[in-house]
Amino acid sequence: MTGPLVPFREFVLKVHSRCDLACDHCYVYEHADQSWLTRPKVISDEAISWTARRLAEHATTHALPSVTVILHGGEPLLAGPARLRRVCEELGSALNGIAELDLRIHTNGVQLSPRYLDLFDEFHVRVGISLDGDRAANDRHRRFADGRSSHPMVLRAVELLREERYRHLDLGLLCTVDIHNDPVAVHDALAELEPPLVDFLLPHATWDEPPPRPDGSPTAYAAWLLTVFDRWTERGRPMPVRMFSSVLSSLSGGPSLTESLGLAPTDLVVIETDGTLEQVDSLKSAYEGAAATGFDVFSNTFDEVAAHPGVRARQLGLAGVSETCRRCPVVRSCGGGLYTHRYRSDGASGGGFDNPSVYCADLAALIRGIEERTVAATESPAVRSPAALLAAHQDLTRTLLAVVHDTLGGRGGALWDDAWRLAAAVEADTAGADALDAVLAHPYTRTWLVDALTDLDAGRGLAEPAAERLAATVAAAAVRARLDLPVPVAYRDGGLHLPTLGTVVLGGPGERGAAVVHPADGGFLVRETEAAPGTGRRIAPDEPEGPHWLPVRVLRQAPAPALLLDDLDPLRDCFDAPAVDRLAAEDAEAWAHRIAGAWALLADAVPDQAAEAARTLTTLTPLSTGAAAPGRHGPGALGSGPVTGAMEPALGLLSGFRRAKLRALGEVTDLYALDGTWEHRTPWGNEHVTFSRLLAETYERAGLGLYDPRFLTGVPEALDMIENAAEVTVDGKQLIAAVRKEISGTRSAAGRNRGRSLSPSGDGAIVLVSDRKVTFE
Amino acid sequence: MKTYGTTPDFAPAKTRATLAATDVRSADAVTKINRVCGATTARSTRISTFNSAL
Repeated sequence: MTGPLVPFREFVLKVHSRCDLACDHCYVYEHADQSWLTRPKVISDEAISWTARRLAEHATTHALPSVTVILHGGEPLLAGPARLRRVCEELGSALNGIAELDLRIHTNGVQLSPRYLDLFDEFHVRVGISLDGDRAANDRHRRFADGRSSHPMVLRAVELLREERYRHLDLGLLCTVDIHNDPVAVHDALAELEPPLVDFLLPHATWDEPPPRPDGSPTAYAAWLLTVFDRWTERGRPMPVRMFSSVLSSLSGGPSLTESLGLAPTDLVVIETDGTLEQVDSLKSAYEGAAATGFDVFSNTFDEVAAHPGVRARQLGLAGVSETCRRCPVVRSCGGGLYTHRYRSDGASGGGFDNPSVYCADLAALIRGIEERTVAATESPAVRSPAALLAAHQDLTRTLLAVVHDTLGGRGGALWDDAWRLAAAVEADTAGADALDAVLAHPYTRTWLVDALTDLDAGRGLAEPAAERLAATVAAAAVRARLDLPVPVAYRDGGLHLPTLGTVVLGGPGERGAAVVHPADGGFLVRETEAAPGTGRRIAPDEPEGPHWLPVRVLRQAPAPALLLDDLDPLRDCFDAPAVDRLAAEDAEAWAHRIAGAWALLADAVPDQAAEAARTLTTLTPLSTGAAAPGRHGPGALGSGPVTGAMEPALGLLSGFRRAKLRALGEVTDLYALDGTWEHRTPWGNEHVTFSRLLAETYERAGLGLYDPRFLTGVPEALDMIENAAEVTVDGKQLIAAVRKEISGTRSAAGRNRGRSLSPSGDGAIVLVSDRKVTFE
Repeated sequence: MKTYGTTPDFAPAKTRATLAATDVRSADAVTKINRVCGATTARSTRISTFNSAL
């Protein structure tokens, strides 16, 4: 087993090994492992002290910002308030100044009283309670040894925890599923208590001891849970449900939220009352000694346990599940199920955990069932609506700027602080807010902010040009909105670039200084800070290019839309090929002609694509070489080298637009997850590629296929592959559905574009690398 | 032909929170940022994943 050691972040501390209930479904007492019989009832002082010491050591070694400790049992309240106080004090003291301590306790609630809750309030120990639903459901298993119901006592505990004075400690309710119970009654009983969180647990079972299936259905547990899901939905999702949230998260490309689902590496360890260290203790359901590691807190570090083969086996992601699971499209959501539920003693390889879950069919049906029920509501509108895509990017850019400011925490310097304050003043004006949005939506704003945040996260601090960019951005917005608002700025290398507007030349190469931009008469006045009052450069609204002003040009030649030809922005050099310097006027004219010619072809051949491109493309940046392509920036830009004729730029623009669109989508929603975990064979190149590459090539080919159907060779097969891949998310599937719609009927329209034969020499420049093996019909 | 002047609109007008009131700490904000920046200093609330507790 290879790969870096995964540090533990979650520690289950068994503070008492006995229980005051005798639930017949409990894995601790009723299943294969009976090690509880030999454990001390209560955790010892020595075990507490060593646990605290090992925790601090582990948190220090791995620079963990926080650790979660769950006080567990048996029934942890049986340890008594004095012992629990000692645990809280020792853990808190050991971790003080090292890591945040997230303390929790999970109890059956029978003993819960103000005596305990006052203690928990003092140490901020949050409380989860087990409750299996309504009284009939709860009493099916959760009874005292003499058969008495625990239900009234548990309800009293829940009510106490809901009181105003303790509500902040309430974690929620944990419900073990029994399919004999009425799922609607269980849901309603739990929801009525208004818990902040609920989770449903499948009863522990293995292939040796399968779960009861009274009607023989292989998906009886899925059916029960989906009935709960439907009730939960019908009631307006009254509380979060961890199991459902986990499935919804993974379907959308996010992480799983529980060890029982998903491929995330397990990062929890169990400390028994005698200080021995065990793997997750549900393994006790598998066989005697299944959870043992042979380590204890007195002699071993947590790192030693983290390297234990049994622990590592649950940290391997896809490599840690069975062969059957690795090929299953829902594995990203189910993760092969809870490790314990995979056990069989008579497996082909001699027994063990290398099997699908005994709940495999249930998990698949549950995940598919939730997907079918929620797909319409969870899809991002950005996939189907270009306007929603732009809105999502506007929101992303603003969030990035706010996060940069928040991360700076007042250490951005005077220029940054002034600009941030003035941005608020600009935003307070309606026209100012629109103008600021327009400047922030310039594609190179994103380049600036991503670079700035990357620097801050790497501890490099804010570079001076990054601070200056905020000032220039605010100044450009103030000018566009014609606000009477002087904005302090800084210039360097002799120039002050106002994004989307142009560059004011204030000095020679290498010169830098401070200045103020003051909007005036539709244009603006720039005065250097050291200059005498009444001096400065005045730039009129239509100021032509001259020695002191280089405007960003706008290409306006029908049928192409108005596009910035941005050969000035200092951040534009973010493409694979280098950006060129300021173009001569005649070269800019030539660009306008070429783009208009290309657009005429696109508008005729692919009117829908051309219309969408016209609405979303804003900026072209001349590069030294290469076909049109997006770079490292926000949506709306393409860079392109010098090209001639109309055909090649048309296909280049279409290709670049498709790549830019896919990139823009991937920046605001998750189209796939766990890219690179599986390999896929491209229908056109017979090459093994990652999912992201397969999607990118397919999306681009489908777009080019609208122009010339010969590009569609292999695309339908690729779309099928993508749709059935484990990586694809709800939004990925939504995109594929949109592509299918786009290309439907394209072949029947083939004759229309047949005359636009492609130059063979142009193929390699337009399509992605693996396309070289494509054979046209 | 004039190739400069008023720049085209970039963004659709939309009601939104001010920059100062923009959510920067929630899990949703972290997810958004991580798509373009990878790991950031912003942190979301940690959840417990232990099956037998919350």
